[in-house]
Amino acid sequence: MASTLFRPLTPQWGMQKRWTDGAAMADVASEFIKPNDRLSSFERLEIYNRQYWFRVLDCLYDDYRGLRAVVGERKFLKLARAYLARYPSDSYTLRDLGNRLEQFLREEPDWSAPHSELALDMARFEWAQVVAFDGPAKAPITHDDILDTPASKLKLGLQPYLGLLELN
Amino acid sequence: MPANPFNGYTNYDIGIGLRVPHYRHILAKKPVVDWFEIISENFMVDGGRPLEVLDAILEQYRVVQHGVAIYFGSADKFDREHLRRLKRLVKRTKTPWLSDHLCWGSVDGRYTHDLLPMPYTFAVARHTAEKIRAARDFLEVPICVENVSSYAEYHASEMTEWEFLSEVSELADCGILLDVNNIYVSSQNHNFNPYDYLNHIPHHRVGQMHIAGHSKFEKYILDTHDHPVLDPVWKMYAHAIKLVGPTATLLEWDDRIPSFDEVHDEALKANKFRNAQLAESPA
Repeated sequence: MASTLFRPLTPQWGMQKRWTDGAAMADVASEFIKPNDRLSSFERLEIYNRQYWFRVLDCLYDDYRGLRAVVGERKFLKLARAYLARYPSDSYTLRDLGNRLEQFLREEPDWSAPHSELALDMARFEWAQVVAFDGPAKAPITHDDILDTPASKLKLGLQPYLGLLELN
Repeated sequence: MPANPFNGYTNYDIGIGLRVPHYRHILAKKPVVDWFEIISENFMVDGGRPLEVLDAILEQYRVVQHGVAIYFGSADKFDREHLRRLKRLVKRTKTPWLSDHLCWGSVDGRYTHDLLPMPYTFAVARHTAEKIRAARDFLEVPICVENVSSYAEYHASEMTEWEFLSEVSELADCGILLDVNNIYVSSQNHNFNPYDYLNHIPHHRVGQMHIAGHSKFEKYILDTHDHPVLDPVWKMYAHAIKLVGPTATLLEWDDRIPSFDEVHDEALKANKFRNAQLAESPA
């Protein structure tokens, strides 16, 4: 059943009518899902297929506003669908949904052409924001910490949630 | 029953979900709320704003954890990192009980982020109960499993959903988070009498209840949590309260979230039914 849910929707946002081996999806669904008096097995399974895709696309839509602006709305949707088909969620939290987007954009730059470099930079920046939002933090140094510590023993460092990006 | 081993022998009243659009209001106005329910996965992080808000909330309010991704029903073994983070959060919040759903949602390390219904078989019940026991032993907190809304049923099922919930909770010796709205939604989608469900579960195991709104479509109902509670659900809640007592109740409102006051007022409507039950059966 899980494989059917991860399968991309049609351009009209419906469940695909054929399974990967060419069998009619209605027949495949009826093997394990009961129909009721209003919905066929196919239609009942389709609810979950659509829910999965709407949920994950919605999440990427929210997290990558900049990337959307760079590639445009229509292209972003195609890019997001391709990314999620290649790299379905591998984490219990939707926060990590974009954790392989940079890798995907490097592997398949055509999805963000002709602005592939800018798109890559934007995706890296927006992922860094996700990491910074809830990354680990050390207690900030206070004036007293600095005053009470001999200069020779003073060590300053950046917060672990910060990242340094070299962008084009 | 209100205070029982499955809710840590607490007597919590009406709570609402802690939601981002209400943070500012809650932290500034400090409204009187008996307890908040948090989605565990939103706070299983290493730092930053989520934990900053949570710690501020914990200074003033009682918090109970509700999860959406432990997937007791999945064939996969537990994600150990998930359990470790969950336990860290349990210690932070001191939640008197922890809930998650009677469902599956992941396979081979891929996550659907959905609450998928399970085939109601004895083998699945045994497997699920074993995972619940293992989680409880690791987390060291009472666990309540919640019945989900569903839009599909399996040919493989050997019993009704309420028989399955009863079987799992007895085998796991765990509590039940009785979601009355979910029972209603599933009853309409699968043509069963929701009162059969309410009447035939182990009432002594109910540690918490959920109420919520839903959306009606032409051929099915969807559990959207984006409306006030509808009358049929309130009627079921009144009946459930008679069976289980005035148990900790949480209103879920997760989408198109209105103002804090509107959500809280909707939740407090549950008092009408709780007070009526108390009047009939005073302690």
